[in-house]
Amino acid sequence: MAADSTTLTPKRVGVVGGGIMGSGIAALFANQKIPVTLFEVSEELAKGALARLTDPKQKLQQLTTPRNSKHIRAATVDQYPELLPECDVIVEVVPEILSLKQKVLAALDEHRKPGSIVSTNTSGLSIESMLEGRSEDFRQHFFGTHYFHPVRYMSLVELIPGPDTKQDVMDAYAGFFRAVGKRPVVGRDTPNFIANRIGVYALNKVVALTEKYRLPIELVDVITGKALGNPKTATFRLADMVGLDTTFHVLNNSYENCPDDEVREDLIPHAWLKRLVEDERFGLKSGAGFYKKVGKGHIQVLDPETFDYRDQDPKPRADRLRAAKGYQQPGERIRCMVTGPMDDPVSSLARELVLSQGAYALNRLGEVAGDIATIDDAMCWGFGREIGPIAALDAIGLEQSAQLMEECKIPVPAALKQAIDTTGSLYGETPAGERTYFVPEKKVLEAQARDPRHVSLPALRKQGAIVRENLNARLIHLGDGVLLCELDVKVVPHMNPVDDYVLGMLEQGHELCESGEFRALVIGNQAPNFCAGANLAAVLGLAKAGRVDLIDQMAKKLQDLTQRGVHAPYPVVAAPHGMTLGGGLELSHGAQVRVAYSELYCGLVEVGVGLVPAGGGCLRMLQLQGRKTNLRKRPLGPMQKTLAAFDLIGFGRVSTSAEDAQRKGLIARDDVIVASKDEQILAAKEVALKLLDGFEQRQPEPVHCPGEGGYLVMLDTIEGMARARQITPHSATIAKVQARILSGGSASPVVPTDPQTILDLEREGFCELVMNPLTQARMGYMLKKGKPLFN
Amino acid sequence: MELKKTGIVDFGRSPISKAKKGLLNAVTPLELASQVVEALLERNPQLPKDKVEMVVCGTAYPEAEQGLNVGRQIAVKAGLPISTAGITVNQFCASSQQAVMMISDALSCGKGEIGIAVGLEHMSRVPQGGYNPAFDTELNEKNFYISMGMTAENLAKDGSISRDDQEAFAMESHRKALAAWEEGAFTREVIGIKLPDGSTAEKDEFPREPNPDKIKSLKPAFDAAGTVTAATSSPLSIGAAVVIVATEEAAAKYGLSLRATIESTAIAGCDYERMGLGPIPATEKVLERTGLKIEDMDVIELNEAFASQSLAVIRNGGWTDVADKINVLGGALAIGHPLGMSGARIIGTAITALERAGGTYALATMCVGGGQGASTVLKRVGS
Repeated sequence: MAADSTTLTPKRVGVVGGGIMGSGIAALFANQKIPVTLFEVSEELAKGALARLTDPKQKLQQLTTPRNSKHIRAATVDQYPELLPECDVIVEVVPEILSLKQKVLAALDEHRKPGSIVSTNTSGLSIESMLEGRSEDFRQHFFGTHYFHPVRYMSLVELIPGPDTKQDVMDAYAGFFRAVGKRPVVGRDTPNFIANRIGVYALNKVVALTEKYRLPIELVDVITGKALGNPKTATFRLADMVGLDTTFHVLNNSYENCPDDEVREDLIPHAWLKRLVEDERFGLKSGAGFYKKVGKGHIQVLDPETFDYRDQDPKPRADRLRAAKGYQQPGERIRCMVTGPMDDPVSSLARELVLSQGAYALNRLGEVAGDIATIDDAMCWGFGREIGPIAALDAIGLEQSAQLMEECKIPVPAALKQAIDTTGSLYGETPAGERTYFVPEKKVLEAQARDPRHVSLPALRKQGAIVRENLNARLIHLGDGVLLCELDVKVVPHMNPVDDYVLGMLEQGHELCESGEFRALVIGNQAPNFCAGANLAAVLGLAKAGRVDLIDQMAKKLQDLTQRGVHAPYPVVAAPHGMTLGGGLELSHGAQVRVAYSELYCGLVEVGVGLVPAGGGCLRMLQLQGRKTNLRKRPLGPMQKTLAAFDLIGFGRVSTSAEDAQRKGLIARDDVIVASKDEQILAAKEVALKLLDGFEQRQPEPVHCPGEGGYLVMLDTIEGMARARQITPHSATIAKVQARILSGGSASPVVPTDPQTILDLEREGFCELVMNPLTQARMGYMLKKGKPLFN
Repeated sequence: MELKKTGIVDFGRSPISKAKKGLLNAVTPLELASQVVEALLERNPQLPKDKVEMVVCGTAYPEAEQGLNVGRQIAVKAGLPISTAGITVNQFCASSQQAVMMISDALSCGKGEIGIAVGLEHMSRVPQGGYNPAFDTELNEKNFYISMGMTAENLAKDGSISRDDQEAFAMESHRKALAAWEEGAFTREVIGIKLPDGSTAEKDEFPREPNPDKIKSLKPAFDAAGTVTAATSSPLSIGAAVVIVATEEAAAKYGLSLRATIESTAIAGCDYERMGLGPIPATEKVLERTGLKIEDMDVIELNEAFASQSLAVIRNGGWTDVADKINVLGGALAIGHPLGMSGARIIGTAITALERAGGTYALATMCVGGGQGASTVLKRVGS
């Protein structure tokens, strides 16, 4: 295709270089079913890269299913003349040596077809320096990218235009990235671009502060982890993961090439880092760095005094950390950490880090990127942070930030002073809920342009789209008569457990569609996970109080609502993403179609808490397995789908991606998968609207069940496993209940079983197990420890 | 009507492969059996194909790729004339011994001159129990569907057969099988199977030098309080065996030489919770029918479903005096036990062993799930 149109849909992508990044990028395209040619210097290397991608033993799976490797063709650089002209997009990912890059790009220039887009992937080399001697067409269609490892899970891609890159090429590529689920930010051709520039500065700062305050390394990783809005890998663990040699190299690059930095001396790699690199202690890849793995599950930590390793404090504690833990919002935690006592080393480290990092980031405005939002977004998306370094200053309060900076002898950035004098904050919100950010030249807060395909639920709420709301869910009008039932459980926002509030709101949603007030219903949210199951604490409470009648009622309500969703006379679409477990998966089966985000980790995992699915999960698995076995033209019979469903539920199998969920039969083959989580709600709405056209109400789907004959066979197997102690007696009890449900009780193998029979069996089994003390022990253990007990 | 004497013209089998991981997973049961039949026909060129009355295939789970009357499919695929009938029979583990019996009985009665018995089981493509198993409530209550492993535990318990004894028996089986391979004992009987990738599967995959430490460390496979482990149970396996049966009359007429004659056969029922004892009543019957005694046997092929089961038969059947004649080339514990294949295999391997020993009589006997036994007495031709 011509590169100059606004949406880019390449017919074939060429990836040059099959290393870790190269194969990750190849996988990114292959996951979207875009054909890829992977070029390496030899056939052996190209095939090796492909083999690594599909190796089930690799801890990191870049492909969403190994089958996607069929979209990647291995080739050698000798085949440029025939194969390169087929590629509309060429991604160069060879090692970061300027002379090598220049040589490879010259070859690409020679063989590429005019108009094809070429990008170079680098974490910090100058883009302009690669362009000497390149053709004009090449220069116009060339830019730099900086992907983050692992490509599948890290959403950030920094895009760096070259001096002659055409704007429409950049726009097309950015749009394409968004469509494949990435979040591009446009940076400038400066050393280490945005995220790494600020990231390594902060890392070096933490090392220095650790030395200054003489704090143990594992404690600093707790301080600079969740307490400051960072992921658990925090600082030293992250450095070990990235590789200390790489970190060292990136820091040096900053130091050498940023002579004008106001804090240039802070960029000199810290002595500890230097010594570790000299000792070839590079981190994870060489077995030792700031941490050292000494045995299975036994990791020691560096003692900077001796430079040897010692056992870790398993639970590093500090008063300030305990105080910060009480806050839900990352900004609140940060404020708590930085405002601690001046003589407290933990608070001091946090304070100096957050403020110097905020100042450094703010001082890079205009140098590495055009606006503060781009800088913060890059830091959040590239490092998995909850809040950007500049936004953190807003959370502390600008005047207080300035005051604390002065106390810490950090020069207050000009932009911060300007904001204090004018807008009073660095970020804001328009009345319509759109994010605004401070523009120093204009001294105003300006609204950020947002991709129209990204529906923001917080923004919709601000715009008055809320139709109804209760404690844990709300109904939002998405426009065009489509209603969204949003799960938003305040107390456990990461998990969104299903409870009476959620079900009550869903019921109201159905009523509003039934009455014709709305035309279609979408079930979803934009939380980190769709829904990790039922409210276990509530169920356990009821069970302990002997209120099995109320438990039965709650299960019945979930069943009725999911049945209502499947058989509604209007479109119902669910939008599962992330963890979608137990009741969460059942809830997403209470719809005719699912529009799933490709990173979907779903399964019926009730067995882990000693229960069976009782919100229609068993029924859905039987129906899905029935359709699957029919499709495969395997020998048919009632036992096949029962055994397949038994495998899924009995072992609590969880998908590794949406595609994997389809393959396992946890969601339907004709369910839709979207690559972008940001676009999921809109995609679900579009599917709902499309269903409206010639909508057909789903008829009941009876299942053929084996009945008692099959049940006895399963019983025999279960008892055999228990006798050999392959499973515990209680696991056998649970498995028998599963077998009874999935074989259809007293169903006849020749007469299709009414779905309601299965649903009744589900509840009967659930109520029986929930009153069992051993199941209650499993539930209690899960609530307390967050992992299953196999009693 | 005078009954005609029947005998065995030739025998061949595939190597026995591991279910799930073995080389023969790459071929279908039909392909596997057909290759063995073809190879046997090829090395017996004087055999008049148009006189082959029937192909009878015994398989324990005659469904899916072993269904659709696989016996007839094999006849057609192996290139036999369209006039040859094809039958599939099922008697669980004795399926292909039953196939030999059916052919022999029919030919004896003058219903044909030549027949081909096939034993076949592909335990990964058609799982044990089949694809749609269902139990009867009443029989289930009577424990009729007891797992085979538990029948082996019952025998171990009844006869106080120690885990050590069982393990020693299993290790001996491996040593004998390895020695047999080393000495080339199976050169004639094992037929290489061509695989889709162009290579050939030529060797039994199970026999190996036993590792006593590892064997002793295994957990009981069926009952945590029991003594039977994976090492003392026959493994899930894949294989096909073929026996060509003809009347003495036909052999003479077509210039075929018989390797052994079938003296008599017997099947018998027994307690299904102790199905492993089936060889005892079946052998009593067959010996009575031939007027022979167990001591007259020069070779005994006793199918090793489990070590405890084999030891129970030897001890309860009064076979301890002839123990050194049992499974001289190794048994199912080492070689494998593709259920439907084993009946034909032990008949064939009995002939191999008999020829090597230069003996006269051989007994092939096995136990059958559901509580049965099957036995055949063979006499070497030329003895």
